[in-house]
Amino acid sequence: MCFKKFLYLVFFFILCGQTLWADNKLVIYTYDSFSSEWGPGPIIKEKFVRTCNCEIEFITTSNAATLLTKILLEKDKTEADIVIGLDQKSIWDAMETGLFSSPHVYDYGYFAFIYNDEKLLNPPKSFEELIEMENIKIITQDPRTSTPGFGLLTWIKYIYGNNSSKVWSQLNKNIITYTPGWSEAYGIFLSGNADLVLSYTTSPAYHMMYENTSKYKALIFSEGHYKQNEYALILENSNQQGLAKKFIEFIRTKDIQKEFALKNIMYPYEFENIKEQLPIEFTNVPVPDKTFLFEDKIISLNKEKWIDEWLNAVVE
Amino acid sequence: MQLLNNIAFFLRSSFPWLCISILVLAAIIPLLSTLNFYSYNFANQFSDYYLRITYFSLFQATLSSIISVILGIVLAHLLFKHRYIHGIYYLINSLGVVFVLPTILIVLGIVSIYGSLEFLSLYGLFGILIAHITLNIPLVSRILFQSLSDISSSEWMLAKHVNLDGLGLFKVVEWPIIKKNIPSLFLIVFFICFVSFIPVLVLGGGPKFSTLEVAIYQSIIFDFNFDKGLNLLFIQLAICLFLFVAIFSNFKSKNFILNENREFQLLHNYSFKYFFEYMVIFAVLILIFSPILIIIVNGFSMLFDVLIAPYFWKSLLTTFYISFFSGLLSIVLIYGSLLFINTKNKTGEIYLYALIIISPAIMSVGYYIFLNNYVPFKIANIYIVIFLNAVFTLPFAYNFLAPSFFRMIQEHSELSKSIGIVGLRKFMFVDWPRLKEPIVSAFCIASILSASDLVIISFFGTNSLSTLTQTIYRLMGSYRVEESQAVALLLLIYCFIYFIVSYKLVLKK
Repeated sequence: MCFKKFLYLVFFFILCGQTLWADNKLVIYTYDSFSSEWGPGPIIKEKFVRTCNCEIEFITTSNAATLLTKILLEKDKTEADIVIGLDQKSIWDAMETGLFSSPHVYDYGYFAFIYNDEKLLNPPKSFEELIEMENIKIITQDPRTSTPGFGLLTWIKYIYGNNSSKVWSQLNKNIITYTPGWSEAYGIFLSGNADLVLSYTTSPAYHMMYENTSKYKALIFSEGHYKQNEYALILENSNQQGLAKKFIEFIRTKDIQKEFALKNIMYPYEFENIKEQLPIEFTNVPVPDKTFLFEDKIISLNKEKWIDEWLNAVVE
Repeated sequence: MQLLNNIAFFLRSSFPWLCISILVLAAIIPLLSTLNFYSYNFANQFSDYYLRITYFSLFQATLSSIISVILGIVLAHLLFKHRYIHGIYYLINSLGVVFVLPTILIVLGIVSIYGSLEFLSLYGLFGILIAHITLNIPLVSRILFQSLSDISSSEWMLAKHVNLDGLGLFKVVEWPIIKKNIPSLFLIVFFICFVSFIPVLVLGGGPKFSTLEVAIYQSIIFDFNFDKGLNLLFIQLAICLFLFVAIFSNFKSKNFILNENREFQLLHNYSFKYFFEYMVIFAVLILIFSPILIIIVNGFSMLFDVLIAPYFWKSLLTTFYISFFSGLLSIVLIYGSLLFINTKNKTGEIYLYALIIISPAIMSVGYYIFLNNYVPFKIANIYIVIFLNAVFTLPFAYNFLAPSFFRMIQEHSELSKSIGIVGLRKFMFVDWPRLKEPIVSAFCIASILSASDLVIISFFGTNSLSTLTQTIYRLMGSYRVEESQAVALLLLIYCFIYFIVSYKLVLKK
């Protein structure tokens, strides 16, 4: 009798183990804050499913920086049809693998330091001024483990070129710590334990839209700001090519694009065309005059070298 | 009937083998799987930087573990001495909570407490030490307290008869049992600190104060450079193995007077003459519990909003499943393994410690590769998460259970053998009554550690499979810091309730 029950139990477990096979299922790899309840994922899913008579499954990593690793571990066995959330740090490497067809930008942003204007009364107006400052607590992310952290690295590299090491060793005096990811850094900043945090120029829009406060502002630097593009890619091996292409087109439609502003707090790819549909708090955020970014290939070729350079500069 | 007996015999004799095999394979499989991506190239780019962080890791881990073990002993001794004071019982059980909460919560608490103090610079060696000490004193003192409760009344009585008091009493009665625990405790704390990740990254203040583990994590997870990552891991393993051998060959344990009765009470009721001791207890507890206080204070502002949010209840349920079943599996596995080890020979411990010192990053990646390439069928992610968490928490479950287990074996094995009681019946009538307290402690610790995990769940979790710990991170990742603090408070409350209910149900006190 007992044995029979045991068999049922085993059978039950095996059953649970099988994923339900669906004809029209799109598997999307993305990072947590995209697909979580508070990100743009759920609403995109809901709206797309209505148009396609299909299923969408999000498989997430905790961090955008680990998305490519997951695919590389699975190689041709991957279940993914689409990957959402790669940025310049890894896009070239991703394309080099030959696993993906061409990348599509769906949103972008500019790296910037955020401050609380009730606390920091003389905010620096340029990188130059920031570097010269004393007694300011900056919190940023480790460029080895975080995409914004790496963003700051490329930002400084773009402005200062061969002088970057010097700039880093000077800036480092004011950096209290490099956190593993964006979340820890921003959390420490919001709890009032740092004056500046590395984030995006659009971050203050979140506080205005959802918390009704305008005390958080982005420092706009005269040297210009480094741009980050976020990409969606279709896997070559996916057997849902048609559906995947439809999905990519779908997230670039105006209706969906605004979700990236509201939920991802980034500029939608179609920002200029959908401005009037967005809340004023978002469109009023100052846009830097000068923005730039390296070519993807240059980043891929120099990534390791730049990180070592930073490491040596801040370890001294 | 004969057949049933045979089956029972087979199950009984294969159970310890099964458990120990799972344990050994659990450490070896992921490592072997990662070799797929390894090109056996040892001559790898080891700049001075890696030498530097290796030294630093050794330094901070040694310092952290020495301080944690010493303060842990002091706290355990004092709490044990004054255990009849009202409320101490709950306090001891809450000690476990500090250790098992998600590390990031304790670390953020530490930032809030010490970060604003102008006269000290938190980030650097100081911050790392504070975090490691705060996290590990509770572990050490909780385990030691468990062991001290094993001292039998005849030992106390004997000590009393020869008029020992104070330090003498400590030296003769408590020290031998504490001493026996020190190598394991020192090693486990050392290993935890040596492979520390979040405390080191957040409180280290920069790559100057880092660990090999951070470098391994970076190489494997971010650069997909298995050559570098695994070479660094081999260095890490070599150092840890060396320490393991060095420490265990130098400590030999002694036997004690063995006795059943543990209800003898040395009266240490509340009295002014122990004022100094109360102050010491108080000081150490402030150090340990201050990050918890921060969680409580910060958690209130959005508590109500979170309580009415469906996502909270959903992830609470997932958290409960994972913690309960991981904890249970962990206990079963460790119990079976203990039956196998069953002697004072501690070489089996190395496999347990391997589960800590083989970096969590490599373990998770290794299992990921293994499940993707060598397992022909698909297993639902929740089972993987439960199983892996059970495996990862084994070293901690072991430390909570092993001292009492070995002592019980010394006391009972001859007797049990002579009356021919074996297997499940022996467990029910001999082991369980004697071991239920350490078992429930180990169960709670393994459960909540599983609930706090972020590495495994980030590899094997899906969007719909989300624990409270993950929810805290997701909220933080979406600018919702206050809301995340409320979830943190609720996770804390969950831990306490989990502990209290488990103890009440099992011990019926």
